[in-house]
Amino acid sequence: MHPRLPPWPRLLLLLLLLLAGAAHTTGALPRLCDVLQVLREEQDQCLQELSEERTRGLSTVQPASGCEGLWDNMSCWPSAEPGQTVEVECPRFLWMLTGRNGSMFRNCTRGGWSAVFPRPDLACGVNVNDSANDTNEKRHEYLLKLKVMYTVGYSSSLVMLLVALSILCSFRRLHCTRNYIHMHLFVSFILRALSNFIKDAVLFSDDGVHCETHRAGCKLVMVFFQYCIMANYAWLLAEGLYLHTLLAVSFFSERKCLQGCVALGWGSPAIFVALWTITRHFLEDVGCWDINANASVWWVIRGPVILSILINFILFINILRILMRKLRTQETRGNEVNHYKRLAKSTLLLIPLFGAHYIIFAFSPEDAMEIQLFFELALGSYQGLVVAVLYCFLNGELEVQKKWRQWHLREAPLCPVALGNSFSIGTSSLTQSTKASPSEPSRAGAGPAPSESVI
Amino acid sequence: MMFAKDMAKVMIVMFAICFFAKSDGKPIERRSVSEIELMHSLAKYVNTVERVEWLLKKLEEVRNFISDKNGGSERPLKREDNGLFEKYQKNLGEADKADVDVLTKTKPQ
Repeated sequence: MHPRLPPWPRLLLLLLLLLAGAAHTTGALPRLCDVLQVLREEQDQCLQELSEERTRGLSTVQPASGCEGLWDNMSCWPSAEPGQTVEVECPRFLWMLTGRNGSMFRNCTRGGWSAVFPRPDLACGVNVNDSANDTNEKRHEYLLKLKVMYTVGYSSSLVMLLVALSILCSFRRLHCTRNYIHMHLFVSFILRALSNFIKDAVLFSDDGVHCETHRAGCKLVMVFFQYCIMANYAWLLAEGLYLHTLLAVSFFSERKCLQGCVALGWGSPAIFVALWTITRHFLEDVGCWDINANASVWWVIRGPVILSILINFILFINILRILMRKLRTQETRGNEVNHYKRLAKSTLLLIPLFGAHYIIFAFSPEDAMEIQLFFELALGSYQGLVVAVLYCFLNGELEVQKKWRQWHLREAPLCPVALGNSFSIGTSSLTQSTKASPSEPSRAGAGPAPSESVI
Repeated sequence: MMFAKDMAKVMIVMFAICFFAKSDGKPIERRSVSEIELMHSLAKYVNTVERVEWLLKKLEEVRNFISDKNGGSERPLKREDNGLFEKYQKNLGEADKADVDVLTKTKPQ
């Protein structure tokens, strides 16, 4: 081994730099709840001052025709003599919304207070027209349609996944490391779908301003939601790592591998989500934590997700590379068209399992957001269904199963293949080639039994 | 080992792309996870609409506050709708209520 440091510390440093660079906040408008709270505070303060003034006034002489102190639902006007013009600053809640300061005036006449001048919205720079324009409305409608679409997608995925999971659980013959990992992946898909439903129910069902009522519960749901999504990405990564380990690493312990996968799949999201919860609590404790405006806080979730997508994509490419190499050795004997067919088939099979499609939009520009949302939500919500179908129901595809039986009756299979030969359909040729070509002793072939049970 | 090195290289390049793509002055708006992006956008929109509606109502309320007192006839907002006004009256004692009533009855000029 060379004495240089491995690239990981450098990478870590780069990641830290990136996080530091991302530490800027995009200005988010406050929620109505917070605005109302500020307004309430101002009102209480004003009313207290006014009542104090009044009690003081009662002991002395009452101003005969003056204007009494006034809370006009917005600002606090101190009592004034007739003919006086009173100036007050724009209320704090308006300043929160507009970020602009200004003053308003009222004249105290003999008949009482005059109207406010200039008009409060003009004086304090309130512009209500620019934020609720047509494009926003159209976008909102589009998002609502997407919500319906992904609800359908997730519910159908949920049903299929539950059936698939119960099949994998109930047949003892199907119990093996690979299927255990599949089962965990299924559970993570189920959780992702469920958490979406729960989140939607909590966030969008009730109308009206829900300020303090269930804020803690709402945040808890949000933390659970983030955890489920991260766990799903982590399990996709675990699948990738497991298959890659089987193909590229000669000797490893199945049990340890499974333990590592469980730690990665359920443990690492917990760490990141806990970190996010803490940072969110201290840095951006706004609303129900449903709006992620602070980029640096959001990187705690976003960074690991992008990293997992990236690593999984690299693993995916590498596995295809290994597969292609194996198939090429077979080329002399096999039909070339057949060879590409198999390659295409296995590629298509591996995409949903690895979540390789996420790479398409992982680094896309912001303009493509609507396409991304359609692709990843309306279509992506069926990923669980596709995975359940491919890796549980279609697994026993007849032709492949026959081949599998042929291969596995000769050797004692680790995980019998009634339904569970997950990577078999397209990639079975890989095993064949490894077995059939002793001239090229591959690393995968050199490994113990798992190489054929996987592929 | 070779693979790890290759991967590290690719990752560094990708992160560099991210890093430089970001630093062109525009703030990052993307959430990367579609569900969260959708939730973010929807919540933001709902918030905005809620806020704008409330603000319009509020401004109207303030504008009507004086005309409400000055001329009893032209009151676009009913007293029942004006929750804050009611609360205001409740907060004040009985004596203060009388003052408010006096104010209410006062006519301009």
